[in-house]
Amino acid sequence: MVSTRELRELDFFKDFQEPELAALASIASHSRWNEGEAIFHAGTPAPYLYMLRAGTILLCFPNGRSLPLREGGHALGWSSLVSPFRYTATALCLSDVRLYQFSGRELYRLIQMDAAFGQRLMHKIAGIMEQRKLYREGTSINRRKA
Amino acid sequence: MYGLQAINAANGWAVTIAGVSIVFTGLLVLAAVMGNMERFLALWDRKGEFFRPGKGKLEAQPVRQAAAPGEPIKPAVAETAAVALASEQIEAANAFQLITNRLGEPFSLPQLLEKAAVHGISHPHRHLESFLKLRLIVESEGDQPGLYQWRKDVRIVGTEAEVS
Amino acid sequence: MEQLLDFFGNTGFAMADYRHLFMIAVGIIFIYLGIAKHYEPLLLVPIGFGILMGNVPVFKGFGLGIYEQGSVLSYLYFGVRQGIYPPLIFLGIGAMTDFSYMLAQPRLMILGAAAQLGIFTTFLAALAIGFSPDEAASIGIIGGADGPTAIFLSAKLAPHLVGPIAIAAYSYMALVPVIQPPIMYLLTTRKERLIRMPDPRPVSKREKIIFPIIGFLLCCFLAPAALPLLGMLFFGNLLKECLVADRLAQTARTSLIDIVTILLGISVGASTQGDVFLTAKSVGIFMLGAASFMVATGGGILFAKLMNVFTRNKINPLLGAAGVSAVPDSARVVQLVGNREDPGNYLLMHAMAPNIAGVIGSAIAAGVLWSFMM
Repeated sequence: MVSTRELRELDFFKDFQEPELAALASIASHSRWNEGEAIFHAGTPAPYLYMLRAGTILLCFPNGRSLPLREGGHALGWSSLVSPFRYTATALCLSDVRLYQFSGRELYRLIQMDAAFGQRLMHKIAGIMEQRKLYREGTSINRRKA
Repeated sequence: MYGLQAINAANGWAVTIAGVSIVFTGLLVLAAVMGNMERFLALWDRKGEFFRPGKGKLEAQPVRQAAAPGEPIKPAVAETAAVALASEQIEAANAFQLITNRLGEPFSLPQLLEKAAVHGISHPHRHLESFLKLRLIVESEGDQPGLYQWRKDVRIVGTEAEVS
Repeated sequence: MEQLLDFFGNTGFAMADYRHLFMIAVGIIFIYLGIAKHYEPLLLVPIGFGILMGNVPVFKGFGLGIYEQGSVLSYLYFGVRQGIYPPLIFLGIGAMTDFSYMLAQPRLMILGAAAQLGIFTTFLAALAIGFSPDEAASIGIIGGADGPTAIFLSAKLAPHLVGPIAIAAYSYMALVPVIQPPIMYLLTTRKERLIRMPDPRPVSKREKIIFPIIGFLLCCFLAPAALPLLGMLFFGNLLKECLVADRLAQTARTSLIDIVTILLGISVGASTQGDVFLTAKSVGIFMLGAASFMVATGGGILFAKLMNVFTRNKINPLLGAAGVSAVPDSARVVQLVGNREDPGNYLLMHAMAPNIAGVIGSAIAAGVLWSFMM
């Protein structure tokens, strides 16, 4: 069970209202991964959005570029809300990681029920997509043999 | 019966025209009513003012909140000139440097991890995390986001012996 | 030995023919698509299993088949035949939908009307190729991209076609991400696809409470035959927005809609039998259904372009495709196509407006067609 207090501590949710946090908490679950595990792979179906709670994750894009996410409140798996609903990067755990997991389907149900919440959430998602665009769409690094 | 004959026999054109008109009219009227609802409600709220001598000032329109963009990723910890590492970390750093010498700079972290696993380096993810945190490995500047390099202005020192 | 032969003669193995086997294969495919591919699983799994149940060969007269009076399946099918289940689903949809997407941008509601052109053009095409007027109206409503509406109308006008029409409607709803994008690219220019929409205004609680009442009265005075569907849709929405009946809204959008979906899916599936499904009519229904989706998509887009001729604040014409009321799938497709051109252009919130308006538009169209055919 995830509480609204826990979600409020995350930067991502800092301007969400209490009823919205309650709705999010009702669909959230805890997710734990060990160092070296891949939470998801690029190109696979994206059922979940994750919020980093603790630990470090390396987002690895198919073009060889990567982005470490170290602090709590970082979102990963925005593809669970954006067509074609396939992850655009692989999420590799550089340490033991704890996350909050949200089903994309359940988030869509919340969006359908509350337009203001949907607007706020999607603006944040759009911001993240924009930030990571350079990594996602950068030219592929040439692979050199060791 | 087929074709236009069938359509005419079933009054198809009349049904279509009437149906399309009704659907459009319904939604058009609904849109018009709801489009003006905000104004009607504002007038209703001010109805008392119309019975007082002199008109009141217009209420300030509610300010639309611009959506806050996503927060930028915060920069990492401040630089240090010398970084002390445990012997296991120094060994990993040396192994990583061998790999990145072959990959060339700036290098891809996923490729580094892949090669590290092939070369049998233990706990490569943990070591990479600590090197990133200590800013021994930093993101390449300029138009190469997502690619990394070793910092040239930092010395790795052991807790017991110095390693350049 | 004789008893053994008698026993074997009473089993489904002896009574099955190629139609039963074909339909069972169709049912299994639906179940596979729902479970393995996650294509509308809440619908395809019950419908798929219903097809299996309805196509196991049984003796007539024992009260087993769905079309036999007194059988369990026929009692479950009663809700489809009498048009009870679709309004109850609309109750749940109203209770789970925020209409403020539409209220904030009322002009986008008209795109929801434009997309219903698909219904009427398909109605004409179905008449032209030889379907009766009742059948043509039931087939045309597939273009509304609304499963409950399609089932409601076909149960009233052409009950023998409920099965193929429902399957066509739900299949094409699942295929919206495949059907729509090529049409969207064909009918719009890059410059049009890059149009950014202004942020919608905030909508007050009062407006959200008043809307279902006014919406219901306006729409049902105009098209009284739409009363069962629109009445339940707006009632569900009022329960949601008024806040004092939240328990009822919660039940409507969770338990009630799930129960009805189970009963609807299984009984529609069971009613889909080989002697109706494996006919030239079914092929015609599937072809016309695909055409209706395409025309609906094109109609919405072209109308948006027409509106841009007369308005100063341009509408992104991609939003017209969201008038096809597969909520929220067609809105998501609009988001995808818009995003491909401009990753900073987030159209989902805007696309929800015509998407939801399309639900109202298709229900009005169903009411109009039913009243004309009565």
